[in-house]
Amino acid sequence: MVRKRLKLYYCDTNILLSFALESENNHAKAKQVLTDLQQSYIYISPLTLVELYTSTCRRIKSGNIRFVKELQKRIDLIPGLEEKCHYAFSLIRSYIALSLNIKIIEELNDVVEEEFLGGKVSILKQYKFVLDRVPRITLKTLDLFHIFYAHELAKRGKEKYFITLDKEIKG
Amino acid sequence: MSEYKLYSLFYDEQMLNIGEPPIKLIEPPIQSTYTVEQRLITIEDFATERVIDLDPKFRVERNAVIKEFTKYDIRQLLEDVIGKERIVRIEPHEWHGSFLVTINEDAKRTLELWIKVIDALKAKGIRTPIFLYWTGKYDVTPEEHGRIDALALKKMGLALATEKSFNASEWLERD
Repeated sequence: MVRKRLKLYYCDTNILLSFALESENNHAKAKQVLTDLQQSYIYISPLTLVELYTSTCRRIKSGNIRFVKELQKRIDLIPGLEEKCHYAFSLIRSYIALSLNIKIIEELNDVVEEEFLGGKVSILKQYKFVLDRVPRITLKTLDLFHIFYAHELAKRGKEKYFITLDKEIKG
Repeated sequence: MSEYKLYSLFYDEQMLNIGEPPIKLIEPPIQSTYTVEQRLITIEDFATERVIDLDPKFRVERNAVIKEFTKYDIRQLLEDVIGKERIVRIEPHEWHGSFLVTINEDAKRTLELWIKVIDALKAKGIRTPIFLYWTGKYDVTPEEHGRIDALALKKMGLALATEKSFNASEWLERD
C-alpha cells in the first residue's frame, strides 16, 4: 500500500481574513482553496493571530469598518471601544476555528548570536532568519516573518506550501 | 441544496527560493465560476441567500418564500424554547429574511437561548435565520459574545461580512 505523502500548508493572514469575511474581494478564491485543503494540514503562526487582531482593532477604533446590518448592530450594543475590538476579533477567530481545521505553529524561542553594532547580541532565531535574507529578498517585514514560519514548517521534511494572496511575495 | 461546480484549484505554482528547504508558493485561481444547476429552488436555498447572490432573478421569488416561512409557527417554537413571558417582540428583518426577537433577559442568558432556538428550528427543518436581543444588562465578556455569535452564524449558515467590499492587503496594512 502506497502511503499518501503528507502535505503541509502555511496560510498567510490575508488568505485567512479573506476566507472569514465574505465581502473581501478574493473571498471565493480563499474559500475554495482552504475548503479544498481540509484533508491536508493547514498551519498559521502566532504572528497570524497578532496581525489579524491588530488590524481588526485598528479598523474598529478608527471607525473604518462597518459589518453588515445585524453584525454591526451587535457590535454597537457592546460598551467601549476596547470591548468592541475583543468582540470583533473573537467573532472572526471563532468563525475561522469553527469552519476550518487549522493548526498553529508553536512559538519558537530559540536564541542565536548576531553581530550588531560592533558586538555580539542574542536575538530570537526568527530575527536572525529575517536579517540574513533582507539583502536577497525585498519584502516587507511581516512578510519575511511569515516566510520564516513557513520555512520552519518546511523543515519537517514533508511537502510544504505557502498560500498567499500577496502579489509581492509571489513576485 | 445548491450544487457548486468546482474549478481548477491552482493556476500557478512556483518555488520560493529562500534557502533550504524550498517552499512551493501557491496562489488561488484568478477567477472562480459558480454554476447553479437548473432545478427547483428549495426554502433552504433562500435561507442562506447564496442562490440569490448568484442569480438575481430569484430575488422576487424570495419574498414569496419568506411568506411561506411564516406559515411555520415560529412564534410557538420561540415560546416553547424561550418562554412566552420573556418575549418582548418579534420583528421580520430584511437581512437574509431573518427575524429579530427581543427578550426580557440579560445578554448571557439570551445568547444561550439563541443557540437553543437555532437548534430547535433546525430540528424542525426551518432554516430561517433568527437573531435574539436582550433588554437586560450586558453580562458577558466580549470574547464569549464573539464566540457564541460565530457559533450561531455557523449553525444558521450565515457568513461574516462587512458593509462594503474590501481588499485583505489594505485591511492588514502590512509594513
